[in-house]
Amino acid sequence: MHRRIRWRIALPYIGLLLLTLLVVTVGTIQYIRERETELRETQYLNLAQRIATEALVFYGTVGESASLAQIAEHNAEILGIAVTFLDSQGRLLASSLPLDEQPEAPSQLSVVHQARAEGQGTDISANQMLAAASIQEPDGQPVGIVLLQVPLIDVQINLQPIRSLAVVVFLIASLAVLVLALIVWDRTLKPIETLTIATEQMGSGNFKNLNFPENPQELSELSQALQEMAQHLGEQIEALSSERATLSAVLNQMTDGVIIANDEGRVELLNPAAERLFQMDEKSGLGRSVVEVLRYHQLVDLWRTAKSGQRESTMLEIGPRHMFLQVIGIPLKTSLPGSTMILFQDLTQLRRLETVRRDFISNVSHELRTPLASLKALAETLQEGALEDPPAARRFILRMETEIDNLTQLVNELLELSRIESGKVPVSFHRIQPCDLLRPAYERMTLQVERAGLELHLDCQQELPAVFADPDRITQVLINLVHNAIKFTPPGGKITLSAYRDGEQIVFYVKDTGVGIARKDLNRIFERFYKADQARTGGGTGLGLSIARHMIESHGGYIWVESDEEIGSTFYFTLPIA
Amino acid sequence: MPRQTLDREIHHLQDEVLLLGSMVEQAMLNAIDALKRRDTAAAKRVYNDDELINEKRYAIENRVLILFATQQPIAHDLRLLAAIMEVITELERMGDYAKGIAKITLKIGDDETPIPIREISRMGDLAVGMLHRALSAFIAEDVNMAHRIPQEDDEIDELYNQVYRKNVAAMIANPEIIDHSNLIMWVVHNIERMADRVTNICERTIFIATGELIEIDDSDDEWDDDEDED
Repeated sequence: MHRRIRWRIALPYIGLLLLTLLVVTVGTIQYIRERETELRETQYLNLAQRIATEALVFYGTVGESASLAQIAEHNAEILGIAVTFLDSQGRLLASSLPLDEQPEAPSQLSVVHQARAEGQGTDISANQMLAAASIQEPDGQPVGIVLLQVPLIDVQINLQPIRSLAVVVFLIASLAVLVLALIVWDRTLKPIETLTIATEQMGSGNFKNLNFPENPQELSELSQALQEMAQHLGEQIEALSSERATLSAVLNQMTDGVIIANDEGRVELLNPAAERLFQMDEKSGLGRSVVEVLRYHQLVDLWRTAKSGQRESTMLEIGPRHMFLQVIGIPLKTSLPGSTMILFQDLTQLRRLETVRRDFISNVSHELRTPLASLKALAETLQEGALEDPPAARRFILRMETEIDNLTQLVNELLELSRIESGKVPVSFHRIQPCDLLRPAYERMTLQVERAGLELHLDCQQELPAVFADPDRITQVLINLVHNAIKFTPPGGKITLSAYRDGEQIVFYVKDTGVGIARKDLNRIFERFYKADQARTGGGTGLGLSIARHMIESHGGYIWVESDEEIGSTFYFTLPIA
Repeated sequence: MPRQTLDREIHHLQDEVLLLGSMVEQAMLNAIDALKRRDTAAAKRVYNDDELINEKRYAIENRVLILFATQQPIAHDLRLLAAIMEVITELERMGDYAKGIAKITLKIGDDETPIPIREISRMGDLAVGMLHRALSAFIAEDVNMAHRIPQEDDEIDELYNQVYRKNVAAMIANPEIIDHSNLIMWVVHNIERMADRVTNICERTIFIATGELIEIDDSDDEWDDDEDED
């Protein structure tokens, strides 16, 4: 391509130069020819004058014709031309030519007219040149005319050698011109080519290590200007891309969703948070209509309001996932005219926590109210006369004591839970064998289990590696789990306490053959106050599993349950190997 | 020349279908929420807003008819427009189900008889989720997704049966709540029917993409022949 540019520029110049050379050569040849002819004309006119002077003395003499013929022949012989003498009227007097070649009616010739009028004259015809001069007395009286006929070959020089020479000179000059032109153009075009390559690289975004020509002067100034421009552009682009990187980092990492839609309602920007909210990846979301991305008509309405130039903010719950969103529509009047930005703040989690807190308070109140109400009833019954009946009164007092125990347990567990949750429970970790954790729980629960008509098994492998745990707390958790198992296992069932190794941790489990837990409740039984079977309000505070979970998590383990309805449940928890 | 106009109009209609779908989804969720909270005012709103759904449905139908008349669509476009006619009918009917639930909430009023609201909420969320994704598949003409979605109503059927059993047990235990239980059966029936109609939308999606009208087998509807108009 650069080669082509070179030839495009070079060819017209070379052509022009060659044309000039050609014109000059042809012109010169023409000039030489004319100049030469003129010179000859003058020469022959001078000759004619000289012959005229020679012949003057013979005019008017007796042997005029013979004398003139003699002079004519003499000169013709010497000079190789034809010489003819005419009288003043143009009539032929004598000639060196044979009779049949002598000019007929010489007085009609234009040269003769010229000679008679002006004293001399020339005329070139197809094959000869005529030169005539008037023969005059010293006082100017014309007596005759001398007429010379020169063959053209003598007048016009031979141009052939000149032409050959011109062709040779022309060829040499052309060659020289060509070579010189190429050298000059190479030197001129090379820097331009370098410059072209440099600017092309700039165009494709490369602003470093560009090669700029330093010569010639004019180009070096242009190069310098371009170099500075490249530097500025490079810096600006770098600044812009770093700014862009910062902005996109903010957009990508922020937890709020951002969508920007253009005038036609097509999505132009969609950050990852928005992708997650609307379950639409950037690739499929970009360029789609706002309706397709947002999907919810309330959001589309908000977008339309913002699009009409009015900032709009709202809070709403949408969709089957019950997302609770704070949405703000902002018209981007100045920065991106016609575009609209929509911000989404996902408050679902926050609202869920709020609900949990509200439920917690209502649960606590409810749990407190039940024993309090029965205490109140028992006290009233006593007041209304049961005191008079000591055996009944004693029974009532015993029931009151039970209620107070329940209340105390509830309050204690609440306190315990809140202390664990706020990390205020001192935990003293020891290296301890898993069996040494299982055995105390087994020993303490055996009696209770038997009383409930169940079997309790301890299945413990001595070779298990030690764990890192607070023995009192973990035993408490195990006792809690066995307690639960007793509550939900019908008589005749079996409860197993055991542990096994799984990678870097020991998994403890309490397995029962009880009623199991419904699938929908599985995820929720570790929540505070959650009771799978709402009918069994009598059985416990609903805090036990919640406390167990917090305890295990503070040991760096986790707790879960597997259960089949009517077959039984197994509660697992892990502790890290010491 | 008319090609571009047709394309633009079709895109617009697809957006409108999505908006209609969103209104239906919200109506169903709101109806269930109103039932959950025994909120008669909210139920009344759902009941009245059904009119908006109907209006939008007719507006879309009108536009489709105008396109048929003026643009003479062929092949894919023709199938798409025909499918839109079908889908908006389904959506409007689903809106009627939501309206039906709202009507039941109004009837129940502040009757304190327990409602298996956990199951009903779950069913509603599942059905609305199916509808939402079915409309995504409809717009994207995603045949695979359209085949998968109808399989999801197993859990809805399971929940339906649970509520049914609970209701029967409750009615046997306490015949006084037969009326109430009957209303609850209508609620879950409406939700269950909504999920069935999602299947029809999926069939239309397959029709647009392949040109084949097939019936997706959802096997478990013994009473599928009922043309429930409410």
